[in-house]
Amino acid sequence: MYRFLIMLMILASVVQANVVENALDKAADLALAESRYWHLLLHMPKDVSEVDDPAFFLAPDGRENAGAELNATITALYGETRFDDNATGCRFPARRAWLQERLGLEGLPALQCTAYETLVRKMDPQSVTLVFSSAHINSPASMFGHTFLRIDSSYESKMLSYAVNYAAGADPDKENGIVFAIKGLFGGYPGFYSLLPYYEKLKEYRDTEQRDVWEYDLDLNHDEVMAMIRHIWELKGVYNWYYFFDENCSYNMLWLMEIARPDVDVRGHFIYHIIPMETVHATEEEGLVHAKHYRPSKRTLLLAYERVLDKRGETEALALADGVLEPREVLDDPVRDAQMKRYTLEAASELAEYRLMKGKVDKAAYSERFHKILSARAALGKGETLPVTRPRNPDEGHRATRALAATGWRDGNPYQRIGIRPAYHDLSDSDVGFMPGTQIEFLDLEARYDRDGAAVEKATIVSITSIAPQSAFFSPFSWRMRAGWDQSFLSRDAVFGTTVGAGFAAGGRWGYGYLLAEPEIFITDKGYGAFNTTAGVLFETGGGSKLAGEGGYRFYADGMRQWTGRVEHTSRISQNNALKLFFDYTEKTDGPQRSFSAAFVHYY
Amino acid sequence: MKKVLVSLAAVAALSSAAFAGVNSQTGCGLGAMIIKDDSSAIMLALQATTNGTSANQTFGITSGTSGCKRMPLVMNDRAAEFVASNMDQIAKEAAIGGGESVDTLAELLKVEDKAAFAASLQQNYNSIYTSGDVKMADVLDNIATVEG
Repeated sequence: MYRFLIMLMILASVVQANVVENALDKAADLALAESRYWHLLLHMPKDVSEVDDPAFFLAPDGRENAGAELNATITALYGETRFDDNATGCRFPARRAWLQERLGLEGLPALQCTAYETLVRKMDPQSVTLVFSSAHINSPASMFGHTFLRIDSSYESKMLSYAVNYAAGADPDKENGIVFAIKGLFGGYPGFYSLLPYYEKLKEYRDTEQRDVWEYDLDLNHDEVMAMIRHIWELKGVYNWYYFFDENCSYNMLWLMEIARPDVDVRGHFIYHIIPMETVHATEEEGLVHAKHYRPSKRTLLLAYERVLDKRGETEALALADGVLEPREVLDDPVRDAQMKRYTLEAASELAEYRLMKGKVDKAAYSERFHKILSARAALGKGETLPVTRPRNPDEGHRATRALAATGWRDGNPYQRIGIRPAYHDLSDSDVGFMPGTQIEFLDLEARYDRDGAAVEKATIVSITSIAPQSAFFSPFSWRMRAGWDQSFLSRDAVFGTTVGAGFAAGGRWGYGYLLAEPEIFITDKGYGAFNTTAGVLFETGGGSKLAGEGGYRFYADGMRQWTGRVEHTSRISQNNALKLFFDYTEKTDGPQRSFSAAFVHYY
Repeated sequence: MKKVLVSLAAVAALSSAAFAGVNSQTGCGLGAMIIKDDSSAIMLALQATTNGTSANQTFGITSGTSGCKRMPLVMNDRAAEFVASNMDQIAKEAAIGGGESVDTLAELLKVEDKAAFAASLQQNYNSIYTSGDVKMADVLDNIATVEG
């Protein structure tokens, strides 16, 4: 009996060895290791995987050897020693499913993948949506937005979907901001995929960070969605080093989309940097988007309440939120219009929450205030739904990279300019799809050519502007920072200067105006310090076109004074083309310099 | 409505102690995430580089709310989880007389007539949200009573 068993085991292992051998041969014949899909599964654009976590690989050199990883996977699938959640097949359901489909893989052991099955049951994956959250006010760095995927279930309510998010495993509250940024840029943090209920993500982006949310329903069928889910499971707890410019939140969603539908190549749209909105453009170009939805942020809602409330309503809403007015008094007012009361109380409840988030009221006081306001509101019955103006969809906005060609006169002599700006948007670019008053530029380069030959007109390293108009409910400050070479100083050559300034803005439907005070440091042989005071206006001139004007008076440390002024009109021709007209006036050491020019601008 | 009652009774039957940590109105609602006043423009400019998040990012199917204890499995723990995490939002929509969160709750509780459900929450607001520090379990319990 005992001998018989030994014989059986030997026999079994020989048969097993043969089966494995066959599978390996077949994989070699089909050149599976070189196939696109295997490379997608390994996150391997060329020869090296972008996944940095050794736990993701079964072969010792799997990270840079697709063939070895393939063979190790096939061998491990046959040689399972655990048949539960710890089995290779349970850890790598996407690899297992794909290899079974391509190779047949007869005689694979049966597995009990309880954890995975539970997840799939709970998620009930039916379709996928790409979610984009736009900028939040006063933080132009967030202009690039953030994208994640949402796995939709059979539930009608999308709030019950699950969000698949990729983010750096870092806590901005615990890190020095500068260190945080630098590490984020250069891969100092591990990035992880996470899975959370969509309502949690809405609280985070829409409510806490007050960013408008846009949803793009993807046209993936159930099988494609399941392929994505199997792969998401494989990425559980696996880290990649996070790089802000390329291997970021958005980029890592592209892998998942291609896993779902391998014949689209969304990653091919990118060369060196990935801007979240650009991933939406790429997804659209690949024909994956079939419907779009918009969710206004908390801030957008409050601004909508400002529009429907009269002056008294605004004052009352603020007083209610601050706890200096009792909701009963609003409720019992005998002459006040009922709808105005409803809007006042609704706005007050939103404001109270906003106060809490800002840490301006303690939780106990807030809870009681919030409760009283809502109790009064409920007594007024159903009213009108708050009208919220839907902004232009970010996917209608211009693309990230801007090229410019201009011709005109400077001090009566013809001159030409050409420019390139890899990213992203400035105050004079059309605001269609962008938050008005925000600017973020990286490497805005312009060269000019005139009778003296070619020279640098401008070389901005980085410029960030946030013009945030004051309103009844919000009183943000406005600010601007810039570092780079430009023409605005007394010299006729481009001079390096850097500034961080602040001020205030007011606005309306017509546009906005702003005042800024900007201490500057610049580097010339004549001096290094100045203080600039600027006033600007921006008028919307219809159809996404705008007129921007700015005047400045600069006090130099050495006693010099200087007026500067510029007017720029941008006519939006189409999503990615515009005509600009410039007039510049800059006082120089040898008298004023005036420039007129017209430019054609293309975004791509 | 019977079905709702049964499942809600199951939720409500759990003692409040089971929901320690979920108890405060905002324990894991919006108020749990306090925005810090950002100190400088530079910080603001830099903060978006990694999309880092202070939220407790998890992988899996726990509710993942900071400040929320994982609750024991009940017949409709999805509804309990949802209400616990969206107390303020549901309160707001109940007072206004409808909205996405109220519709979601109706769906979780398998309520057929969503419009009637929303109207009923508004009419009975004070018996559902009895005070400023009402507990999630009580809210569900009160809804069951009202709807029953």
